[in-house]
Formats: sequence, structure tokens, C-alpha cells
Amino acid sequence: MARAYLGEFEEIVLLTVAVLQSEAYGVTVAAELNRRTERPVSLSGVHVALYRLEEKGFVNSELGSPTAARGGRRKRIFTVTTLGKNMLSDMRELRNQLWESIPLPFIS
Amino acid sequence: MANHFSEPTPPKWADFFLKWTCPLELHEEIVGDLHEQFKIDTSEFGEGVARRRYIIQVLKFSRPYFLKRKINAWSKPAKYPTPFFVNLDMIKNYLKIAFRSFGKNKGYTLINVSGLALGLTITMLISLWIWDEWRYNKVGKDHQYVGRVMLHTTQNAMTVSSPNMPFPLAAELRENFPADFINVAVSWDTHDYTLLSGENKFRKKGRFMEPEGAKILPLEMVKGSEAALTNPSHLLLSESAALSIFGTGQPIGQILKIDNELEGMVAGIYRDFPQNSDYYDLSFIAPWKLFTSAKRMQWVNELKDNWNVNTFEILVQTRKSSSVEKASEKIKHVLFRHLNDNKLTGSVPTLSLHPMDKWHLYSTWENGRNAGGQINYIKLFAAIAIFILLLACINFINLSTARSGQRAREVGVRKAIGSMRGQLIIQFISESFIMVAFSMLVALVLVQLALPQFNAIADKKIGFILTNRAAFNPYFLYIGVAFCVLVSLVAGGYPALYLSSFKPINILKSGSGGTGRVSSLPRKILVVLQFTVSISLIIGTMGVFRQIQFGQNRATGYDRNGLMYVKIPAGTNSLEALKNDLLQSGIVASVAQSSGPVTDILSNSRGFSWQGKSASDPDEFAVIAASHRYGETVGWQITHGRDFSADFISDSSAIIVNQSAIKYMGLDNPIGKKVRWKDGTFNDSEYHIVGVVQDMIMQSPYEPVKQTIYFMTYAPNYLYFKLGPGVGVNNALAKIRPLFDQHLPGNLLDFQFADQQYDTKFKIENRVGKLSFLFSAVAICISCLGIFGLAAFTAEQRRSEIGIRKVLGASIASVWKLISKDFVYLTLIAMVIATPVSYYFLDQLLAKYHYRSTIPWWIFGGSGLAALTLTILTVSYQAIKAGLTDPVNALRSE
Repeated sequence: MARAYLGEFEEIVLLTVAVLQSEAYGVTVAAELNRRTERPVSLSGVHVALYRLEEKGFVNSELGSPTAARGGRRKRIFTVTTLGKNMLSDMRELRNQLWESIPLPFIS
Repeated sequence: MANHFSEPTPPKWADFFLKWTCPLELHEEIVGDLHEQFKIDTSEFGEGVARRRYIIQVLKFSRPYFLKRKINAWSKPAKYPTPFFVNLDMIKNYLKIAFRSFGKNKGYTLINVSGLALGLTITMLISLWIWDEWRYNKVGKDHQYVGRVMLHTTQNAMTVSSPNMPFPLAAELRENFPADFINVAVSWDTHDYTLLSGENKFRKKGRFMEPEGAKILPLEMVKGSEAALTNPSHLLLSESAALSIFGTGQPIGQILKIDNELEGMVAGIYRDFPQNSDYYDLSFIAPWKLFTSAKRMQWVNELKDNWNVNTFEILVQTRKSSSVEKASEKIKHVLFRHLNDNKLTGSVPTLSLHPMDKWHLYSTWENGRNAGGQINYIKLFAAIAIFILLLACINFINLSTARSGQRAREVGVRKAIGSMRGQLIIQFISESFIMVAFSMLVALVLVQLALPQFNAIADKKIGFILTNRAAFNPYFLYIGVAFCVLVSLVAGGYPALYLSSFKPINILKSGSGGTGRVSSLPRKILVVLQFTVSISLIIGTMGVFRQIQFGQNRATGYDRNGLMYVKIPAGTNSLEALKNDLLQSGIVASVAQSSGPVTDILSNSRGFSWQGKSASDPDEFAVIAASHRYGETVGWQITHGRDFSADFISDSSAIIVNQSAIKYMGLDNPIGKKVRWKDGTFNDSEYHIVGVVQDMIMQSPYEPVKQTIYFMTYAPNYLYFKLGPGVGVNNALAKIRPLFDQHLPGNLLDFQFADQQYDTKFKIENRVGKLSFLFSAVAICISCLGIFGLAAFTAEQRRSEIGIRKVLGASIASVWKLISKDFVYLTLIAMVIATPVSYYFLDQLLAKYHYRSTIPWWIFGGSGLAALTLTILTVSYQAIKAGLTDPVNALRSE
């Protein structure tokens, strides 16, 4: 089945959205990624990835409540859609299969 | 510098820059995120670092993803403006007002909805019909690559086109054009056959084809494989035929006998072709080799290399790299190579391909070019659909503008409060949308109810899209909604512009926005348009029915009453015993044999010569074999000479010709003249004319009768018999059938009645007549609804005037005259316009008939009178009602 292409960074962002449950928006996703990976993650990159994921239908979004720290602006909360979940488990399965197919001595 | 007492803030200029680069709809969340990050960074690394990071982040946001959107938003008007009409509160208000005004004027609402619903119903029915016709023969996904070879023969500047081909052409196409054709198959036309399964007999349509035919059609196999056709003793059966022959039993492997002669085993079941397909009733397909294995079909084998006899249908499927059009161009002159020694015809025929998509819609050929056909009716009905819908829209426009006085105050108040004109336009258009949507629902129900009757008239099996799952297509929904929007724009557009143009000061001061006479002019024009269309449709309907009458009244030249004929299965040796038994049964008055049915001409021939004929004169005749007593059985009228007679031995070379033939040959005194027939293949003999008969209409009753020669031959193809006087049809069949079963066992014969067969010649005209009757009835109905509403409005508007008139002594009759006068004038104007318009179109419609009825003046007068009567009746109800009201009521209310 032809499916929207998912880049490595997008995949990590998608996973992070899944990890953060209902608290996933630009800042928290970027912070989580910074915490877990060593590489520098920019807010704009995270935003673009989130919007792309939404366009591809892997995440949904809605505007959340405004906070004082944001100068009274609302944030956009992202949640993973069923399509996104299927995509993630598909990719996981694919990787597992590939790992299992590697001849044993190669890993050790 | 940073102020320690106030919260640190990100640089203003960066925010400003972001506003400039970032799309509007994303701005809030992005700036929010940036500010939040800034707070975190400040508390973690201090203000300096936070500011630096902030600036870097902002700059990073000017990446293509966002810039592209921003530029797009610039080039277009703002992508998400705060739209004034998507304001929920206002929409609620519009809806409330709409329903209130509908409820307040129930009569107008009813007229509007019923008019629109009627119009939409007819439009939908016609659209369904057009869709069905448009999809005709478009079965399978590769239908556009399928075609049939056509042969165009030119003689005496007349080109005749036919789908009959010489047999070796198929092999030629296969071998020499492999790049164009993927499949080529010789096929024998669809015919009726008797299928014998054990003792059970069934009459089914079938055709014999070469194996490639199954791929060309294409067959959708339910069981077995289409490759079965390569085996000369295998058959393919349609699903419905399998069900009717074998019931629920296993059909595969069963033996069927065709016409009690050819035996085949059922090896595959294919899905029935849809109703809108030329192969709709094709019940079985048998291999070509089975066909030619029959003894009586040996002549087919003899024609294997004969380029001169054109008899077979050749179906082709082109490769996707080619196309029917391209291949058609390439094969145009294929026959030149093979017919260069052809002395019979002056010029060599050309070939072309007729794509399957056009078999039905463009079925006629004129001078070697594919001309119209069913497509003309599609165009005609599409035009009628549009006009009927227009009539319904006109009602809506007229009633809305007429009622504008009532809405004027509302418009004034809305404008005074600050409504913009655009908002008012939206309000009124959405009001008409509600009306249209509601009418659409009513129309859907009406379509559902009317579809069975419509199918019966139109001879279709259209399933309703919403209830028939197979026919459902999501596009119908989109089209339906788009249609609603379109109709509400057409119907509601002008009223919306008109109503919203009122000046609040005038309205609120005087209480009405209309400017009297001026505003009623467009209304009058629209009423005239409505009646012009309605009257034209009535005239058209009368014209069509007159044409049918004309055809039916034409003298046929033979007596159809009690005349029956039956096709005798091929290979039957002797009919004499059967004929004797028939005559002895006491039911049949006379029996005869012929080569074809009396209601059609199956065979035409060339190569005739006679005294006084020059070489260039045309020499094509219809040729019919007629036995002794043929004339007596069909009841033809001898005008000169005599009928064939057993008393003259020389009658074996006698011929009888019809009057058209005498004219065609240019003979003054035909009796005894010699005619020589040499057609190059089979015949070369001399005949003499013994009689002349009155023309017999065997083909279309609207075409001139073809020059025909009747030969004294006992052809074994068709048996005719005339029932004795006073013999009932059912009674006769019950007694005759056993005789046939006894003499021709194993065959299920198809007895035809000449009168019934003759009536089928009017099938198309009858259908068009019935449909146009329906359409004109609906059109006049809608128009009358409209003027009914307008008359009510006029009566109401002139209530006080009528009251004063009555007080001053006006009679009911004069009030009636006052109100009716205007509408009568409008109808008269419509009559004057409709007459030349409909004359033109009716003339065009009849032009395709060679024998056509005249268009007498009374058609126009009668239609106009009918419309006028209906107008007066419709208006009178309101006029008399107005005349009867007590003037006190009218005047007191002021």
C-alpha cells in the first residue's frame, strides 16, 4: 500500500507526541527531544514537522488554553490519530523483522 | 537595557519580524511557543542567552515552509478573513426569519416548493436517462479500445456503410497490423435460437464468435474461463440464461443443443451485460468452429478466401499504444490490394472502425461519415430539462420579487441597523437555498415514485441512485449539492439583488420599496418566457403525435389482420406435410413461404439489367422469395398483370415487382419485360415480369418503399399463414403449436403477428411522443402554478382599489376582467413568439423523416388556445375570489 512518506525526524516527533499524550505542543515536544537526544532541536523544525504530520493525517490538533507565560496566547495541542498509530506500529514491525533477518554473528 | 523590576521580554522587533514572515493562522501558537521557551531559557540561562536564542529561533522560522504560505496568502486575498457570512448568530437569525416568512405565506411557499420540486423531478429523471444513455456500451474498463469494422461502398455518388465484411479481412488485420490490434474476432450477428436441454426447450439470443471475441466484449466470467471458446464443442452461457435453463443446478458440464443440430457443453458462465448495452440480452456465446461445423454452414468455409462477399461482422480491440481512431485511419485502404480486379463496382470500398462507445449514440451513417443517432434525443431532452428547470426558477423569481413589498420593511430595518448589502444578498440567497434544498428532498421522493412509470415509457431499467447500491456513486451526492447551489443562485440571485437594492429611507417612509410599473416589467417578460416554452412544448408534442398518426395512416399495401409468420429452423427439408396439416386444421386460411418476415427486408442485391437500362443506372433491389399463395396470404394488391400461378410452368422464372421498382427502372409497360440478374457470385439467370403490386411498407413507414423484386421461389426460411376469419389468436396458437412440434421437433418457434411487429416500427416515435407529452404537461403545470401565485398577489395588492370599484358599482365580471386582462395579454404575446420558434424546431425534428406530416396552422392555434384557456381558468379563481370579497373588509383594514 502506498502510504505517505515519513522521515526519520518526523517519526521521532510523532513518537514524542505519543509519549507526551495530551501535553504535546511545540515547546514540550522540543524539550522532550532535547532531553532524550543529544542533538540540538529547533522550535521551528519541530513546528514544521508537526504541521507536516498533520497534513499527512498522522496527528490531529486543537487549540488549547492560553497561559500567562505565553503572553495570553493559546497553544496548539497535538494528538496521534489512528492512522499515525498504525504507521508507528507498522514501522516498528518492519524494523523488528529486519533485525530478526540479520544473521546472528553480525550483531555480536 | 533590561529593567530588573519588570519581567524580561523578548525583543519587540523580532516579534514584529515574525509577524511579517509567519502565516497569519499560525502566528498565535508560534509566538506563544516562542515566548514560553523564552521564559524557560531566561530562568535557566539568564536573559542574555534567552534573547539571543529567541532571535535565532525567530530567524529559523523564516524557512520555506512558512514563507511559501505567507507569500501565497499575499497573492490571494487573506486566507482566513473573519467572514461576515460565516457568523453563526447571523445565520441563526437568517434561518429563523426564513422559516417565519415561509410559514407566514404558506400559499406562496407551497407554490414555490411544488413548482421547484416538479421541475427538479423532471430534470433528475432526464439526467438519469441521459446518464444511462451516455454510459451505453461503456462496459468494462477498456471499452474505448473496442470497435467494429465498417465498410463504405460508393456508387453513383452515394456512399452506403455496413458492418458486413469479407471473411479473409480478419486474418489480414491480425497479420498486417499487429502493432494496432490486440484482438480480432469474426462474429455472426446476434440471433434467436432454440436451446435444447434434454427435453426442455428455450428460446434464447446468442452469437457465434471466434475465441478472441470473449476478450473484446469483454466477458466477466462468473464460472469457468472465456478460453473455452477455443474448444469447438464448448459454450459460454450468461448467468440469467443458466438460471432459467438449469435453475439452481450446476450448469457447467451440461450439454445444450442449438436449434436441434449443434451440440455443445457449457464450459463457462458470464455475468449478464448491463441493460444499457447492445449485448444486453445475449444469452449464449458459441465458438465459431461449432458454427461452421454445421452442414448447412459449409458455405462459410467456402468463403474463407473470398474477398467479394461481405457477410461477417469483425470486432477488434486495439492496443493501448494505438487507438480506434489511429487504427481506423491505417486500415482505410486495405481492400485496395484485394479488390483491384473487382469489376462489379466502380470504386473500391474503404474501411473504417466504429468505436463501441459510439455504436448506440452515433448509430447512423451518412455518406460514409458517422452521423447522429440517439445523441440527438440526448441533446433535445437536455434542452427540455434545462427549460423546465428554468420555468421553475422563474416562478421563484417572480413570486419573490412580487412579494418584495412584504419584505421591504425588513430590508429597511436591517439596513438602518447597519446591515451591508452583501449580507442581505447572502440572506436572501440562503433563503432560496433552503427552499431549493427542501424542494430537492420532495423531488427525490417524487423521482423514486415516478421511476417505474418513467422506465416503462422510456424502455429503461434505471435504478435510483440513492436506493440502488450498485448504481450509487459518491459523485451523485456532490452533483446534487452543487445542483442545489446552482439552482438557488439562478432562482435566488435576481430577487436577492433586487430586494437588497432598496433604499432604507424610501422604504421606511412609504412602506414599500418597489417602484410600481418598472419593477413588474421583468416579471412580465419572465411570464412570457414561461408560456413561450410551455406552448412550444405543446406544439412539439402535437407535432410528434401527428407524425405517428401520419405513419400509421399510410397504406401498408398488405393486410396485417390475422397474418402470422414464423422463422423455420435452418436445415428443415420439407414443409409440405406441415402446410397440409395447417390447412386441414381449419384455423388457417392460407399458407405461404418466403425468405424473410413481412415486416422487414433482409436481403438486397445488385447486378440487375433490363431493356433500356444504361450501364451507369443504379441497379440495387430488395429481393424477396415468394411462394405460390404468398400474395393471397399477405393480401397484396396486384395493380397490373397477375399473381404467380401454379397453372403456368414458366412461372419458375417469373418475377413480380412493386410500383417503386417500375419507377426506379423507368418502365412504361412492365408486363412481360425481361430482367437479367447476374451478381457475380451465385446467380446468372433471366426472369420475366408477370405482375406489378402496390408498394408494401416492410421497413420504416417514414421512408419511401424500396424497389423490390419478388421471385417465385419456395424459400425455406419463413412460413406465413393467415388465420381464418373469426379465429381467436390464443385459440389459434393452442392448435397450431402442436402441429409445429410434431413436424419440427426439438425447436421452440417464435410465432410473430404481423400487426404487432408493424407497431414496433413506431416504438421510438411513440416513446418520444409520450415523453414530450409528459414534459409539456409538467411545463404548463409549473407555468400555471406561477401565474396562480402572481394573480393572487395582484388581487391582494389591488385589494383597496377593487374595494373602491365595487363600492362605486363595479360588477364581479369587470373585476374579473381587470385582473385577468394582463395575464391574457402575456399569454397572447407568448403565443406570437412561440409560433415561429416552435415551427422552426418542429420542422427540424420532422426533417429527418422522408414521409412527414404537414404542420397545419391549427396546431399553433390549438396549442395557444389551450394555453389561453388554462391561463384564464387559473387566473379566474383568484379574480373571482377578489371580486366576491366584501368591499367593507377591504376598505376597513386600511
